[in-house]
Amino acid sequence: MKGALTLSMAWLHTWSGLIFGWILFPVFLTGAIAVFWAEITCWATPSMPRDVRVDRDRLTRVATDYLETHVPDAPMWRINYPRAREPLLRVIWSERGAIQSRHLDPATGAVLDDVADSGKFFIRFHYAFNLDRAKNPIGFFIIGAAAIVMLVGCVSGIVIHKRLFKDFFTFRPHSSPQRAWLDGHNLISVLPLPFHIMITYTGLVLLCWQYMPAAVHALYPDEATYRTDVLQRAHATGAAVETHVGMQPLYSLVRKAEQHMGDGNVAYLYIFNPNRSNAVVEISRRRDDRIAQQSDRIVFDGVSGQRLQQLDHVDRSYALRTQSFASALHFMEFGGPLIRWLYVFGGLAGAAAIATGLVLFERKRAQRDDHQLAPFVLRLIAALNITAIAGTTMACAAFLWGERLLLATGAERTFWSASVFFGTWAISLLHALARPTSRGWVEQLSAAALLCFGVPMLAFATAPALSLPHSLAQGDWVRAGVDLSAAAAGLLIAASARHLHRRESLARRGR
Amino acid sequence: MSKAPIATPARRAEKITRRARHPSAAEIAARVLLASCGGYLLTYSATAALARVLAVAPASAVLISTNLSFALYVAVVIWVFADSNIKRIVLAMAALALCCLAIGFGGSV
Repeated sequence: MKGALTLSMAWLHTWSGLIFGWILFPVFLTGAIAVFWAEITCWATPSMPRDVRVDRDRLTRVATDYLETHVPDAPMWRINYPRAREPLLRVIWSERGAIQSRHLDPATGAVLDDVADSGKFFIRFHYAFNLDRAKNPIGFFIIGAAAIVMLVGCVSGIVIHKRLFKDFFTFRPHSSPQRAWLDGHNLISVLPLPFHIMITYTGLVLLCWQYMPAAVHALYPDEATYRTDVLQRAHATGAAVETHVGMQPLYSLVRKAEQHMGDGNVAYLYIFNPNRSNAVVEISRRRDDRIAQQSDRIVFDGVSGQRLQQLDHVDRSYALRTQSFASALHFMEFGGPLIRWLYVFGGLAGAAAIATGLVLFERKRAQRDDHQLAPFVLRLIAALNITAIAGTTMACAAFLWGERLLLATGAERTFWSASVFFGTWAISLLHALARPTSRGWVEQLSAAALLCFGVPMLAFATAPALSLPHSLAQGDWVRAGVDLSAAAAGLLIAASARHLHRRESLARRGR
Repeated sequence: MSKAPIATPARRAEKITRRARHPSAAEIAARVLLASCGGYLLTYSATAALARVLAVAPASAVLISTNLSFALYVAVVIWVFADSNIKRIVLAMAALALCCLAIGFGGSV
């Protein structure tokens, strides 16, 4: 007989998994796609510069010229150097509290208007449903709660599995359909369980004090004071005495920093209070060659050029180094393509674990005749399952369609391609409510497969220079990779749609 | 023939099992509320208390206690659903939260 603990944990696993599965599947899927955010941006941008081996001094001068000419009075400037994954020189500044940015061609200094940060949509959706966290943190907090439920699901899932090890080698696809879903769910949840727990926990760790501000409230007057303290950035404050002061040339400060950090290792710099007597230049090292979110940093007085701070990895507290390591495990800038693909498959396994759990719920109750749930509740659950799984997949593919077809640039483009995503989602929900459940699954999965197959085709119509044969001929594996991955996803989805369709017609004939 | 309601251990276990299998709506609501809101409040207090008692620099104390808080929250949620006695959960939760709040925010404020 099963104990009360197992039963209560089974209840918790089932119901929290159902309600939050609708949130967790989209989060895991977009997270898996977001691993390649830089590559997706490159795929969507026709004018992405190819050569990033431009002289450092020249890059610094090009960026500084732009900022000096256009926003000499901004309270903050930032310059991001191009790197292999993101071959763009980027200038960022704050203007009346808002952050502005422009992409520059590293070679010519020309402003590139058509770089739309397409891939970042998946990051923004993955952690806050594409809502601006500063203005409306609701999405951010819902996803935080979903992460806690995911961890609860991992723990309760282990408790209800007395035969954890044995189940691991059990897969009976041909015994009964429900058995197959259960075995599949066990297999795909247990094998990558360490990854699921790691990725969920580190996701919470990234901005931990925002989810749980208790310790900051207990020890600090406000969050800003805490951040200044923990990031050791006390130098960035102080009132301006004089304006229109000449600064040290930035390229010479960068050169000085690179003597310590190594040639070509400066990733970005902040200039606080540019052209003022309290100007401070904060130079940060790249972090993609180690597993640490906090980068090494050298700070100069912008006017005198005096070194104010030199902060290497080992100069930070153990607590911050641990947090920095955990955050970097989630943020994933280290490792290169192999690790990135492992993360993609880990994330997809997480999504599949959630999806099989959701389907299992639906199947189990559809077969049972004890009528614990009213038919319309079952119907609604099935429709939400379709929207969460097939609908999100459709929306992700449709987003890429938007990126290929939309002519708008800048903020307008960002808005419209996000609208394509959410619009597709809404259509998916309406369709799932209108159609019988089994038809809903087949039709939406087929639509998702077609949308995926369309991704590499669209370029033939709109941007022949970006089409798959062209990128393959040029050895452009970034753009070809996005196209081929979309096609591969399409094949996988089409196969599952076909499988469901055949089973459905078999069931209808048997009736 | 009606059975006399004698509370043997076996019958009590059976009752607990039945309740675990088919919890009432009120009980579900109570547990969900206790786990989500009660769990967050208890975790909040415990995190503040831990940050206060850790003998390290304040910035490190914040990071250590805050990063552990998520594991604690998960444990509290599991506890709320694992324990069959709701009254005990409420009392223990309130007592623990008050103690932790006193440690975390009492004294030098």
